[in-house]
Amino acid sequence: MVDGIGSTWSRSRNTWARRLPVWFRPAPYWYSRSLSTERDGSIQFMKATATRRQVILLLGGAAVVSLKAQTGKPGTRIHQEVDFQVAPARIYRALLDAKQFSALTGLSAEIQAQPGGSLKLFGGLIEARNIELVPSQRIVQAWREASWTPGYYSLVKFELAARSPGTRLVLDQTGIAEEDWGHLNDGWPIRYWEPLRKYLKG
Amino acid sequence: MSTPIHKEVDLKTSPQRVYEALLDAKQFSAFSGGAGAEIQREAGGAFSCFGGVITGRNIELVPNRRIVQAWRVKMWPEGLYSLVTFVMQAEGSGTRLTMDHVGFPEDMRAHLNGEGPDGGWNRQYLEPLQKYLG
Repeated sequence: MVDGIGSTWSRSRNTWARRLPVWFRPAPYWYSRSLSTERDGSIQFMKATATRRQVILLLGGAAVVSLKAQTGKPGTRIHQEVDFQVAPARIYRALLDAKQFSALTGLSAEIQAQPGGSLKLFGGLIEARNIELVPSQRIVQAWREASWTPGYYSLVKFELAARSPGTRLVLDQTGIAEEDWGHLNDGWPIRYWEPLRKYLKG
Repeated sequence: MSTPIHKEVDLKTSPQRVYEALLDAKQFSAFSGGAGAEIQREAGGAFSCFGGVITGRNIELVPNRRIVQAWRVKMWPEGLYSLVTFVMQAEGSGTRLTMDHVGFPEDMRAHLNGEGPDGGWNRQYLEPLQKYLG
């Protein structure tokens, strides 16, 4: 039974992973931690079920966000708007504090949190540089997948506006290759918004 | 979304001299008509040229080969940047300089592309640079 769930899950995980290229391919820790670290079979079963539920909820949440937030058409730019229940300052800090960003993504992060400073996110899958920082309001970054052609960057802008009871975050990403649009547009909710929401509980 | 601008120009000098002219504030000011220029030469460093009309930050610098900059015009909405990439490639005894510009507001395109009377990449950057470097 445990094996059954495990293999069903890994099949669906693989299908999902195949559809998600490069930077937001699921991190292995999502699955391996709950499925392999328990010694007791029944605990493993319960935990596996919980994990599946959580992931389904998470995907459901991501789908809601994508319906609400993704207004762009395929092209070279992405525009998304997402609401959070917490103050702009908390989101700003989570995006620029290596410890927090690493905790929420589950992958290592190095962040020089000053204008001009460099960032390595998602265990090195994403390389970025801060262009402009306005505390609790705006983050502009040159942002690239480590696998992109050398010298090729996109520009990412996070605008944070206080909006009762929390924050509206507006993301604009420009300068992306058309063939990357789909996975990047899907990647923001999965890699940033939902983990942020979960981490900040809002 | 704006259509990217792509320019190529052949210069009768080494990639190194082209790279230097684009990153050395004194040389930049000299070839761009004497307007003030300040350039922090490291990756992440800020720059301001044409007397503060153009500002931005160096994103990536590969000596004598590539300069990637976040680049904005003073009057653009706050927080709006575009991306400019210069690539220098040795061609015989000279250099082919290519410039790619993406992410600017669409209504700026004609101006930046040199279709207006008063500027754009050709008249503000590339032709003066060609003249300056001989």
